[in-house]
Amino acid sequence: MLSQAGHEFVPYAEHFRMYSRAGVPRMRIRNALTRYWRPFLHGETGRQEAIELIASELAGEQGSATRVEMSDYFELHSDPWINLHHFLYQWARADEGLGTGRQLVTVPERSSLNQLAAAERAEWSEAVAFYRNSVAARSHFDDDLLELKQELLALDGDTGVALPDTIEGIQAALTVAMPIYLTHWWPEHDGANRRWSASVMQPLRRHEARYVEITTRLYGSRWPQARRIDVSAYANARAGYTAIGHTVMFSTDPGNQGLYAFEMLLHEVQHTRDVAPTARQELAHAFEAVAVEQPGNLWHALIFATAGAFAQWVALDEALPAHTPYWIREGFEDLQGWSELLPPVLEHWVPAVRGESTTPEAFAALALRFESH
Amino acid sequence: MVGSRRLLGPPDPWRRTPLGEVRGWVLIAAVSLFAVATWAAPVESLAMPLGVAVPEPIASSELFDFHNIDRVNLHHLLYQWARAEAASPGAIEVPERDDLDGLPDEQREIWNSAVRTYSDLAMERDLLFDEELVRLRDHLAGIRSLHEVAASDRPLLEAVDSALPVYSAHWWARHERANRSWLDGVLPLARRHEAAIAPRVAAAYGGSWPEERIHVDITAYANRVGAYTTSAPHVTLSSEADNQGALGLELLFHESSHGDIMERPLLQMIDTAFAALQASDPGRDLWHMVIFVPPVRSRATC
Repeated sequence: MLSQAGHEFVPYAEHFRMYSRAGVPRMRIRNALTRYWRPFLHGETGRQEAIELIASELAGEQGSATRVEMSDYFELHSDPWINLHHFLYQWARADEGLGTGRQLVTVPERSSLNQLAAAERAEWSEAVAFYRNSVAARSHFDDDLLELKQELLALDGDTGVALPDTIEGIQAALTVAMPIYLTHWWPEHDGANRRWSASVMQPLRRHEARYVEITTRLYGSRWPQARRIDVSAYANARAGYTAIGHTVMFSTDPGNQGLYAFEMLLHEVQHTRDVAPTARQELAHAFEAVAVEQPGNLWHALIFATAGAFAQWVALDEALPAHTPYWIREGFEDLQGWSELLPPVLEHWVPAVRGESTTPEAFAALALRFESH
Repeated sequence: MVGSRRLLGPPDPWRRTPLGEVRGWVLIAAVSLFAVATWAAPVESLAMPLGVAVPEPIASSELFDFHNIDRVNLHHLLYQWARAEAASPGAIEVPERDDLDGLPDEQREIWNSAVRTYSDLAMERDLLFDEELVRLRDHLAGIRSLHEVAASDRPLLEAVDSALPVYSAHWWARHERANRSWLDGVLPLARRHEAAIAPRVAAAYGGSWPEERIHVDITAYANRVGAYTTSAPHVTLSSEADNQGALGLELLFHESSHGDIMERPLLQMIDTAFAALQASDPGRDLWHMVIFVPPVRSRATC
């Protein structure tokens, strides 16, 4: 093996972080080379084909550098900044022992730290230390982190541009970590994101139009064309999260694969105002009308039930094995705050999803059901 | 062409050359008159005119002749010294400057005079793109005769010759050792892997490997980014700490790839692909980034 001091050989461009230099969209070039030039070098494609594909990708519209899959209503992105931020966040939380039981995210990459060269290990550890001290205890819904995420999204995957310093010091942490991430973990993470995206896109292309119809009927949705979804090797504790209209899906979550990935993506988008602009308020009004306190998790339960019922229908339509909705598979019926929601939601809301009743009828029925509790 | 040596002050932007125009790192435009002959004829027709005795390499592999020539080293040292002293954009650190006060007055005067000549005549020129500066370097490397050096550059030659005793007395031994040490790390790797790597490099870019051994000047200083290649190919590669061992081997092949007969088909293919799309390479250095992807698997058995 071409190796240096017992470490795997790192090519010059990676070693000296050429992809992090400012001034040109190097990430797009790097991605294009990984996708098309390396297969040529490995004898899988021809040179001309590879060059034409690279040129086509680089000549394409700006702002799509991180897009890996696209349908009529969804753009799935694999963005190194979004991935690195969540990776450092979960790495730091694991270091700190934050999150337990169902909320525990393991970060197996932590055990590979010793395989890095000393200088890289020191720099990476410095970045993780910053996240431990200043980021790990925060929620993804923290104002600063939401702002940071918006600013990272605006970079369009370009690892050579100036970063925001939304939380003082995070600019330095991310800047020093990115070249190391690109060299050691990003290829695997990007690959996982792409596999996840390709898997989700198959049923999505076939069935998204029907889902749009259903949510429009249920909620009066105003679906935008090509909603950006970021797919990330690490995200939150499970499946994904949505904030300020932007969704991050957790691609390496074992519970978020196959048809469950499809279901949870459709679950997450219901958290946006586009898809459910006024439904939460209407639900609240239905409960106010009968002077009943709305259970805290009810709206979330309706979202689970909607995506779950739709995934069941897709499984049936595609002759797949019967699908158990995510929240039932995960045993929500045994969780405090959820157990009492399942029967009324299945009884009154799922018929509305199927078109057998209207949303106001379902909301009213739910309110009356809880009045009797 | 690569980069790793520590820069003084803000670095130049990553050099970009428009596709179809002068191409970076190789001397296409600069040697336009010679280029056609170079592609068609053996390297000797350009590199070894009559009356020139090419110095013996200090070592060779099947594909490379490695040279460790004091005047070539001195030329690059004076060039970088002058740039460092003037704090030119993209200048690199030259720690030997700290030794200057310790030199005897007479030697210091000779040295300063040579640096001044380089300041006046060379430091604002490009080691790669300035055809006449390349000819001067080639002459110092023993592959061009004196009459091929521009008359206006003769003072640079005189500066090298006058400063050579000072250089020999104070810095050459250290530089020579560093160059040999670099070679000790790279030569065994080159000998072991070159037969496997070279055809893959040539095949990757659609070119062909030169029939003659490639002339490699190992130098303490090269250009700003540590290595450059002119069109024979003729590689100048710094023995600096960042270029050692396997990385040095990668750089050796990377630089060799900049020879016209190797990379030109790749450049044309990229131009054609973008032209078909009525677009241009947004970074304008795709060809260079392509060449930076090693065409062999890094896990290849060593």
